[in-house]
Amino acid sequence: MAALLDNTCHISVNSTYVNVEGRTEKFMERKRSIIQLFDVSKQYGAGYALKNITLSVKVGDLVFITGASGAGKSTLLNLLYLATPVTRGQIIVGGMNLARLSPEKIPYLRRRIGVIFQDFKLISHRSVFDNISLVLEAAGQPPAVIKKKVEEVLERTGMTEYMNALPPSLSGGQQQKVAVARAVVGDPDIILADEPTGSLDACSAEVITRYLMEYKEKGTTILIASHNTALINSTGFDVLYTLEAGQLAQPGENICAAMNPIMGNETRGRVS
Amino acid sequence: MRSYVKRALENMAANVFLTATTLFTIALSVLIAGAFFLFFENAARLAGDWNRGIRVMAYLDERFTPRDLAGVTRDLRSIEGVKDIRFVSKETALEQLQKDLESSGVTLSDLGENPLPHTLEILLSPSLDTLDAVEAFVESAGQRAHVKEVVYGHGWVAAFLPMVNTLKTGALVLGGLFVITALFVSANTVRLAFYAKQEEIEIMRLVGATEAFVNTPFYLEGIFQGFCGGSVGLVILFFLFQGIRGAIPPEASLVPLMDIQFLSFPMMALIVGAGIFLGWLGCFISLKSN
Ligand SMILES: Nc1ncnc2c1ncn2[C@@H]1O[C@H](COP(=O)(O)OP(=O)(O)OP(=O)(O)O)[C@@H](O)[C@H]1O
Ligand SMILES: [Mg+2]
Repeated sequence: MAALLDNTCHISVNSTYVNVEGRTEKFMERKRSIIQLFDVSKQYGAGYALKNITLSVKVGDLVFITGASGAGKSTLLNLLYLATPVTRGQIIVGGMNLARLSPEKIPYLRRRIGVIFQDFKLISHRSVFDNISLVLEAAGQPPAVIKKKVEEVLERTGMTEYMNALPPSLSGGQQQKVAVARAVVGDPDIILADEPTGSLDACSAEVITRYLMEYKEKGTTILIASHNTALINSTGFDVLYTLEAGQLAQPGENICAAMNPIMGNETRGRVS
Repeated sequence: MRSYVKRALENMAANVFLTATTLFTIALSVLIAGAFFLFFENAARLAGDWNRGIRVMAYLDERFTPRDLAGVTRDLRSIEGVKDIRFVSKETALEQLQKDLESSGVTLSDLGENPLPHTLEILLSPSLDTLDAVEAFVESAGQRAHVKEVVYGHGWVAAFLPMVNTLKTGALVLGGLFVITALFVSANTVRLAFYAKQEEIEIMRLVGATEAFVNTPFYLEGIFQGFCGGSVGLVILFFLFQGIRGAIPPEASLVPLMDIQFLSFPMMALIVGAGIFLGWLGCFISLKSN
C-alpha cells in the first residue's frame, strides 16, 4: 500500500489527463450534485453488500471507488441505474428519485447512463456493431446517425476491424473495448465504469482511459470502480471513495488515507 | 417497424434450431388438433345426413282412399317432429316392388289383387334425436285415423341415435383435451426458447430499451413462427388425409368416399389463427414472467 501511495502522488502530479488546475474552490462548490445517496443499504439475503452509504457526486466529477473484492463496488454502481433496487435509503440520480421512478421511466434513466459492465454484458449472437448500435436504436436515433456514431466509437477504441465479429470470438480485452464503446456511444451524462481496464494490457488500458478522460473533459460525470491502483494513477480523480465490506471507510480508518490525505474519502485527488 | 422486423428475422436466423423446434411443435399441435377436427367435421356431417334420413313408414288401412289423404296428412302433421310426408300409393309400391324383383330375376305376374297397402313415408326432423322421442312419435302416429301400423328400423335407430350422441359429446371432450394439450405444449416450447434469449432481453433493458422495443420483435417472431407452424401442420395434415383416403378401397368404405372432405375453409383459417395465437401466447407468458 505504501508503494501505491508513492505511485499515486508521483503520477498524479505528472498526469496530463485530468487537469483541475484553475478551478477555484468556489466554482467547485457551486456545482450541482448529479448523484446523491442518503443512508443507502443493500442486502442480499441476510448479508449486507452495502451499508449506510451517504455520498454525493457533482456534475463533471471523476469519482474513483476502490476497495477489495467483494467490498461492494459493483453493487454501488448497480444501484445507480436500477439494475437492482435498494434495500434502504434514497438515491437521486439526475434529479430522479429512483425509489419513486415508475417502471416506464427506467429506460430514460438508463439512457443517460453509460455502463461499462464488469462482465461486459455483450449479446453473444450479435455482431460488435449491433451490440453498440443497440443503444442508439433503443433511443430511437435515425440509422444514419447510428452508423456515424458507432463507427466513430469503434475507431476510437480500435475495434473497427472487428465490427462484424461476434463477441465470443473476441479476446477478453477486445470484448472490454466493445463494452467501453457501447457505454460512451450514446453520449451519456454519467459513465459508470466497473473495472474498465481489468482485461486490458497496459497499452490498451492507457488508450481506453485516455478516451474516457476525453468525456470527462466534455463534462461527463464518471464513476470508476476498480481495485486496480495503477488505474488510479493514470486517471487521477476528483473524489476517491474506499469501500470496506460494504461501508465507506472513514479517512481515519483507512490505512491509505491515514498515511496520505489525498487518499481520504471525499478528498480532491489532484495536486496542482 | 422495419428495424423490429429485421431484428426478429435476425433472431430466428441466429437460432435456427430453436426456431425450428418451436415451429414444429406448433405444427405438430396443429396437426393433432386439426386431425381431430377433420374427423369431427366429417363425422358430424355424415351423422347429419343419416339423421335427415330417419324415416318412419305408416301403413294405412283398407278403408283409406286417396280422398282421405289430405285429412290424414294434416292429422299426422299435427304431431311434433314431422319434417315431411310423402304418399306412396299401393300401385306405386307394387310397381317399385316388381322393378326390384325383376332386377333380381324373379317375375311377379299372377299376384291377382294388389296385396300392398297405401303408405305414408314420414321424414322425422333431426330434433327427434333420442330413441324415446322416436318411439313416442310412433306411438302417437299409430293411433291416428286410417293408420294401421307404423314401423321404423327399430334396431338401426336404437343403435344409431345414442351412438351419434355419445360420439358428439365424446368428440367434443376429446377435442377440447387435444386443443388444451396443444396450447400448453406450444406455449411452453415458445417459453423455453425464450430462456435462450433472456440474456439478450436483460442487456437490452440495461442499456435503456423500452419494453415495447424489447418485446415487439419477440412478438413478431412468435406470431411468425405460429403462422408458419400452423400452415406447415395444415399442409402435412392435408397430405396425410389425401394419402389415407387414397388408400381406402372404395368397396371397403362404409360411406361414399366423396362424402369425406378436408376441413372447411373457415376451419383452416381458424387453425392457422390458433397457431398464431399459440406463438403469441408463448411470448406473452414468457415476457410477463421475467
Ligand atoms: N446478485 C447477488 N446476489 C447475492 N449476493 C451478491 C450479489 N451481487 C453481489 N453480491 C454480494 O455482495 C457483495 C459485494 O459484491 P460486489 O460485486 O459489489 O463486490 P465488488 O466490490 O464489485 O467486488 P469485485 O472487485 O470482485 O468486483 C459480495 O459479498 C457479493 O457476494
Ligand atoms: Mg465488482
